[in-house]
Formats: sequence, C-alpha cells, structure tokens
Amino acid sequence: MVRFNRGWLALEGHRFRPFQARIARERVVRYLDFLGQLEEDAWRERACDDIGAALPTMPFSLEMEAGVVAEIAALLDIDANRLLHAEQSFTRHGPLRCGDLVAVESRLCDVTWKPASRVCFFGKESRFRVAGRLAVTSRSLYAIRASEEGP
Amino acid sequence: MMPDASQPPTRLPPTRLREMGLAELQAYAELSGDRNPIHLDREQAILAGHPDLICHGMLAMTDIGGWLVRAMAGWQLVTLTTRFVAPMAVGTRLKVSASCEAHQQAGEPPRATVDFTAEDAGGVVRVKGRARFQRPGGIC
Repeated sequence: MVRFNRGWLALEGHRFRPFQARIARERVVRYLDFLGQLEEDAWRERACDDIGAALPTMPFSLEMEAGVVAEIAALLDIDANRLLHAEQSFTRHGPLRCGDLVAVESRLCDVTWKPASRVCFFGKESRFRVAGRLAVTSRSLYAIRASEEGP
Repeated sequence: MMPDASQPPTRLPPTRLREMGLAELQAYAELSGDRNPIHLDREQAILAGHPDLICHGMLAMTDIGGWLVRAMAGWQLVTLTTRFVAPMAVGTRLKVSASCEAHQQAGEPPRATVDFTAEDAGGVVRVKGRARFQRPGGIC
C-alpha cells in the first residue's frame, strides 16, 4: 500500500499544464456510436452543434488524452493504478461544438487526508473554454488508499 | 417515456445499462483515452489491491448520461454529478432508477432535478448521482 505523504497537502492549488484540444467530429460520432445513438441523423447533428447536450462526459476524454492522470500520478509520485476515481461532475455553461478548439485549465483545488479511513482525497477542477468563452467546468475527485505516514 | 413539453416526468422508468464486459472496457478505454491499467491489465489491477479488473466509473457515467439526456428529451442538461460508490467488477450490469422533481421561480426557466441510483444484479448500489436540467434558452 502507498504511504501517506504529508507533502501532498501542500499541493493544494497546484495548476496543471494547460493544453488545447480540437473536438473532432469523427470522435463525437464514435462516442454516439458507442452509446448506440448513431441511428438518427438529427440526433447526430444536434450533438455536433452542442456536444454537452448529448455527450456530457466527453470533456473528460480531452483530459485523458492529454495525460492528466499520468500528470497527477507524477505530481504525487505514485503509480497511476493507485488512483481511484471517486466522484465526477460536469456543468454546462454554453455549447461545445464539433471543430471547436478547447483550452483546458485545471488545478488541484483541495487535498484532504482522512486518517480514520486512511484515504487521501484530491479534488481537481477544470475549465473548458472556447475562444475565451467558458463552455464547461468539471470537478474530479480522486482517492488514494494509503497507510499512515512513516516516521 | 417522452416528457410533456413543459413538465418533466416525476419518475423515469428504471433502465438496465449495457453489461460492462472486457470488450466494453477496451472499447471505452480506446474511445475516452482512459487507459489506466486497473481497467485493462489484470496483473496491474491485482498489484493495485483490487481482486480483479474493475470497470471505468466513467463508462457507467457515460451510459447514465446518455440515458438521461434521452429520457429528458426537450430539457437541457446543465449539471451531471456522479459518485462512484463502490468498484464494479467486469461483467457488471447496472440497473438505474431515478426520480425527478420540477422547480420554477418567477422570471426563470423551468428546472428539474433528477436523482439516480445504479445497482448491480445483487442490489448493491455502485453509482449514485444527480442531474440538473432546465428548459432550453435559459443559459448561454
């Protein structure tokens, strides 16, 4: 088991490397296909015009492709397979569309050690903007089971 | 069930999501970019302290989100929040139950809150969450 590292608490506020990603129509279509929703042309067109309405979890994939989990693991100096995804939320502020170039900024907003349950929680907030306009915000809560800090 | 144009349904009929077999995990990993080995490599999952491979929580959330936006056709999803209560073994098939409550304040578009729970075949709750909707045109 991973040992709790008190230094993790000092990482609160850490800003992750910002990145940009293009929302490819082909990828949206693959998502719809995966959900079994490819059969309706009108649905597909609506989805490409406002992805959040059809595929609310898709912004997560932009972060995954950018290697965010590996970045968190490196920051905490642990193996990525120790990170458990505990909670996830998305809030739509405006549409994301096929072809949009999305600028993503994330920070580690809270780190909480629960000694009784020996779990450390890491809350990460992300903002997805298109040409400066806020389109989506998300919050991810990761957990690590850890033994007490060593001497 | 298709809701009426102005009022959301009070209860969405329970639904069974797809079975999350190994092929689905591999497909979702490829699609989403979430290639954490606890979902794909049995040895790595066991090394990480799991009894076996575990499903992506986000696969369940993606399927629940897809179902919700269909079930609430005509409403705009604003917020979707999910808590992954317990790990899910490969082969899990979730049954989702949901209740819906409508709200409206003067001068604001109608809103609806959907609370949902997803259980496995043994009745163990694996995922819980809440989604907030509003009639289109109220934001942006």
